[in-house]
Amino acid sequence: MSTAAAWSVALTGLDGTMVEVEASITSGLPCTVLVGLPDTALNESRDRCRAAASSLGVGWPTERLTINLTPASLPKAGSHYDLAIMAAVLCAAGKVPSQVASRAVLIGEIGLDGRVRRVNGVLPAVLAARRAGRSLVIVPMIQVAEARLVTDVEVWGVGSLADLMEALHGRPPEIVPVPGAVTASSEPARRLDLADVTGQPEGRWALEVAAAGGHHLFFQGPPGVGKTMLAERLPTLLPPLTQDEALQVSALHSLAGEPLGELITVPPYFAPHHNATVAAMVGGGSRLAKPGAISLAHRGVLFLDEVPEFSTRVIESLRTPLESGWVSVARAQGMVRYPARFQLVLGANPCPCGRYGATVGRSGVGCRCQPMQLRRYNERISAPMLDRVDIHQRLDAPRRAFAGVTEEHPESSAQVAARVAEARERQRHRLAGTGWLLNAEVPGYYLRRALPPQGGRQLLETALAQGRVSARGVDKVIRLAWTLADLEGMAAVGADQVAAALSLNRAEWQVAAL
Amino acid sequence: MNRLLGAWGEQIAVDHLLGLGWTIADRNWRCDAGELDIVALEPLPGRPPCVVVVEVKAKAGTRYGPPLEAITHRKLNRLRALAVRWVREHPGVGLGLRLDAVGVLKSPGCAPRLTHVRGAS
Repeated sequence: MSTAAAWSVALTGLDGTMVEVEASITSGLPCTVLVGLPDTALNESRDRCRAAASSLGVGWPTERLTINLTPASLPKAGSHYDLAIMAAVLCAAGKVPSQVASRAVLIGEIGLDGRVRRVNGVLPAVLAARRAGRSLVIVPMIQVAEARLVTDVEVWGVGSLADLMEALHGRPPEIVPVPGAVTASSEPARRLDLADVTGQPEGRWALEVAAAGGHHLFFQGPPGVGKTMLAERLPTLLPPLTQDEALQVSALHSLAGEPLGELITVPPYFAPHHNATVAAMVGGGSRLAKPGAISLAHRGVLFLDEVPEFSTRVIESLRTPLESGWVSVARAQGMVRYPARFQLVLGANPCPCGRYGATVGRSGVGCRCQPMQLRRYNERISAPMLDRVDIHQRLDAPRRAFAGVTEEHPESSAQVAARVAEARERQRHRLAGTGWLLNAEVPGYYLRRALPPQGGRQLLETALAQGRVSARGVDKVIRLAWTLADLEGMAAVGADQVAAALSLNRAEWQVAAL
Repeated sequence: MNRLLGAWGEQIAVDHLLGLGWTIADRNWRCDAGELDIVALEPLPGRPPCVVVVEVKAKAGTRYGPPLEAITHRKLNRLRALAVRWVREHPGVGLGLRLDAVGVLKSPGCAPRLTHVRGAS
């Protein structure tokens, strides 16, 4: 009888647990048993490994082989245990020495022909290995670049079973470029830029304010005015992710199966279609939940175009993550917690036909919706949701096709991002010690007590008295006014900022008045 | 051809068991439910001998896997039932019952390789 062990990682969301894969060969009829709560993909691993071993003439033990994955009580899923199982079996059979297998962490799937294939979640798995104090990981050759994003861990790549045997003998295989592998600069993505947007000065301004203060934003306007164009350029105005944020965001995207060649340092942008389900939005899956749209938009922008078309349940499911920045998804095999701190941008037409409030031209075509239709359409956006949105900006159709081109050159993202960075720095300074970083995070009671506006109180009183803003709306206006002051470099909020903030909130009042 | 290989394998197995000092109680015992290759008696010190039902698998090569791999779960279940039946029909022979498997691999140019698994289950 002989036993050997190798190590792999079980991922529960972003958290990884080290899993010891033990192989034991005892006398008995030839038979391979896999125990330790494997799922189907993992249970099939023994057949994959066996076929790969025999196709390469390595030989599979012809006695009773028991493979155990510990901790046995933790449910394990996925095909990435293949490499560790193979290593443990090879060691137990005495075909390779056990030194490397006992200290390395192995992640990868083996094909029937002995090739090592890519798996999801290599980055979080390697991060978990580092947290567990491991210093050597063996990953599929095609994913070496992804694993190397984690510092302080030695990464060996294996492209085939033969490579694995070499590696287990202590000879790291040479890293060779694999066709299809994503490397640092294989994708020269066309960079979006705010300069692409012609006209829409209010929209651009609202976007800049939203970026500066971290405010959620609602664009309302007829089809084709540029709601989507503006929204997808919001990430270009946000500051790049810090190292920790970048690792976390990249790990989430790795879990979702995106090939990674380099760290994601630009805030991500995610725009799910309006037929998205709750599971697609917050995360789901049958055994252990996969990250959903809100987690893929973590530290970035989530754009929901045509909000009234989203199902109410989907929209309501966003409320808790919006508050906490986390989402917990419970499934049969356990609870998974994913980070989900995103900036929300909503887009909607003013009415089902999209022409409400548009100027009636010579063609005489205006809105043709019935009043009841209008009401229903606007009621579909839930009030608690709108409560969390600070900026309500109406976008009107531009009157001139070449406005931005013929007059002045529109500002580029870089120019605006510089102002945004400055404004954020001011907020960080002012809010130092409070735990908040951005104006949008500051609750109303603190605003009114510690940061009341210096001027413009009369404006607010009048607006409140006339019912143009609600009591909660006053908080929003003060919050926005502070962001405006930060953008202008003012030390206090004056009447100008309050007036401007009121106008950024105007559309909400218009919607409510319908 | 296959029957010849089987008979050849069984003979090698019998020689092996005799070499261990066991006695052969029955060979190719048949009933309507099937056949037992070898029924042997393993002498135990200070006790009546144990009845051992031995299933023999002979193969001419490993192209279809090692010989013993051909003993499936279903086949084992059938062997168990047959073994019990043999014991019932031969009361008083030995004490206890065990199932062993012997694999014989014929390899060209050298002696056949024999694997004896005691207590296959």
